[in-house]
Amino acid sequence: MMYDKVLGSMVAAAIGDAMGTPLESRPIYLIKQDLGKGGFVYDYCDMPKDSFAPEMKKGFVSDDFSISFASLKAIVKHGGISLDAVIEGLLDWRYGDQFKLYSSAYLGPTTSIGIQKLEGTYEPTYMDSMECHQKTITNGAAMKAWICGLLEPGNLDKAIDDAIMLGLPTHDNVIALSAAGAVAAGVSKAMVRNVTTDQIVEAGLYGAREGYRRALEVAHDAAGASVEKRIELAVEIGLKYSHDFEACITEMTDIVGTGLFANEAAPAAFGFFVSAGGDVMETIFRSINAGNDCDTVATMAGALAGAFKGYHTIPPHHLSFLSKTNGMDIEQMAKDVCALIQ
Amino acid sequence: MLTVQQSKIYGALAAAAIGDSMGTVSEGFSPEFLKCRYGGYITDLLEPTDDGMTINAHAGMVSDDFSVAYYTAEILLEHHSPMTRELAIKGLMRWWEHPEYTCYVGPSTRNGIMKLIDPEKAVSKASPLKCLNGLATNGGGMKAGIMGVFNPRRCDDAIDDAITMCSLTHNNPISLSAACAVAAATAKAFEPNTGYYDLLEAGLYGARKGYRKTFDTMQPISGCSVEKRMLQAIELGLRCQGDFQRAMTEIADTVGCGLYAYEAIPGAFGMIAACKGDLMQTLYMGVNAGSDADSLACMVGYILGALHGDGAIPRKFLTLIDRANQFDLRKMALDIDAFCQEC
Repeated sequence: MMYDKVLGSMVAAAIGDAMGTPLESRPIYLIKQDLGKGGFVYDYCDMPKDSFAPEMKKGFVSDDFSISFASLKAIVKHGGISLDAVIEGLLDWRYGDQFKLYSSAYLGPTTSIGIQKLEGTYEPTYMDSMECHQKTITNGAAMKAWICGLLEPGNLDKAIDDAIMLGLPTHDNVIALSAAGAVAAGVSKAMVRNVTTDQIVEAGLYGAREGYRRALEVAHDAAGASVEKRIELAVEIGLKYSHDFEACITEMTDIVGTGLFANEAAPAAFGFFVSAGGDVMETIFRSINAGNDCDTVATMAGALAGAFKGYHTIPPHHLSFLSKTNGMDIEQMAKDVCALIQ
Repeated sequence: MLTVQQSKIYGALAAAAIGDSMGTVSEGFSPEFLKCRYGGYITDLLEPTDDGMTINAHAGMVSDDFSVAYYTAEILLEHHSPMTRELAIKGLMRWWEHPEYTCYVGPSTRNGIMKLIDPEKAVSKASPLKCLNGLATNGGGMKAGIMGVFNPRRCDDAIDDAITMCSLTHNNPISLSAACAVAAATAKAFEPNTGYYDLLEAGLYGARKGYRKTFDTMQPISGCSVEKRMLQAIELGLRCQGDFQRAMTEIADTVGCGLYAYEAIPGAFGMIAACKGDLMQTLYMGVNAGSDADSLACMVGYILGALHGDGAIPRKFLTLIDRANQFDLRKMALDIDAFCQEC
């Protein structure tokens, strides 16, 4: 039971990331035009030439899943989450042989600065004198926070605290960490037996609120829209358009947004999850076809749906294909995570 | 004694400059932080603190928001010509000579200038991506109000001129949709018997038209719809009328007041709705919402300054703005008025 949920969440997150990456940055109409032969995309694609990493092959995940996987690897090795494990995971992702492929292609500015700070090579700029950190309110803490939910089934408060610990070295501000709290708490709740989508949303809202409040004590302040309010809005849109795929993704991108910012991508993930009734593949298809930062949205939404519905609802070819393509033993990792939980 | 049109032009220029200057102090902060620091709302032109976004600025100085438009207006007046692409470039280049204002340059404006002076350094050249979504910023909206001032009562001309002016730096349909919303609402404010509902409608008209006119010809981009976010913001604003704090919080939390064109511009229209078009109240709401407060308050300034004229602005602000920036906005207003009579 627990293994089914852990593996389901990991595989769904990987599918979302791998299917979303070739579509990333495009608006909906260009996804249809350039990648979907006029329609929506429901499968893995080749990387287009005008993407971040055109050299990557079909089925490769990007930073979203690979950082999460590297973090899990270190957490398993340390026998639980700790600051040491978090830092080791981050540095392994940056320099380790297994992940170099991903970090050289997808190292973003916020994560890069975080790593430089850990290594003591960071040169401060005038931006560092600012009280509020507006430019780093991105979704990089939320994109990996789902693993904290896996590790703490039903224990929302611990999952939120862990997500802050995991996100803080790279995303030192209240908005990014509020989104991380939302995703961690949502997945933590989805790991519970016989849970419903509305309870998962409630948990996400609690995680956003608590993540913000707790981050205020350890992280920088930031100016920007509220993750909590935007989750409410995204869920409203998801429910309203649950029976209309195209209207759902259009309204979600037009009003909530599916971009790089934590107050767009994380709320949209909850919106798509709800709109699909938590069905794994439907959640992923809605997330990836919305475009913009869709691989991150699909990673988070996939992790929620996969934990909720379990691995047995996912077509079996994905696990072997993704594990082989990316050289990641997802099955073994799921077993290790389960051993850690029990 | 100023004529009605002169007063409206002066009001638009001065209120935009005041909004920019007052908001430069609060830019980048969260509303809760500002309220704690200042023990209430900011309603004055304050000295900036050294932990914000300003660099070597002092009370009353404007930032990039108003200054780009100011130097572009100077160029149009000198050449005695309506807006053209060449004059837009000249305006941008004159602005680029003023480091006290260009230090605030945003990502998209920098990219636009680099394309003109050193194309190899432009982000749009260096990146392999088809869509550069980080460029969907509000730098078109922040300066487009001036095109409403140069086209009083003529919304469609203001929209066309805003596209010419702003596509140099913001050549994507999201930023231009936002720019046209501000330009159209500002132009509309010069019409007799106009209320704030009319301004909201003109803004929505501009957003829709600006998006449609530029969708096929400009760079493709992903981001939210300016028009739909405006509708959302206006609905929130109307619902929260009479409760300043609640309106500000709801708009800042849900719509957002940030750097992106689909946050600050919708936020501005939502606040106009919340404050029933009152100039200084709306300006204060924009300033105290933090985030990209100076851009938001600057845009509100154009629209509502034109609606109410200079009489709605406290005198002390007018003198400080001119002195701190070495502007003569009253004279510029008279010149623009004469220009509009002739052209």
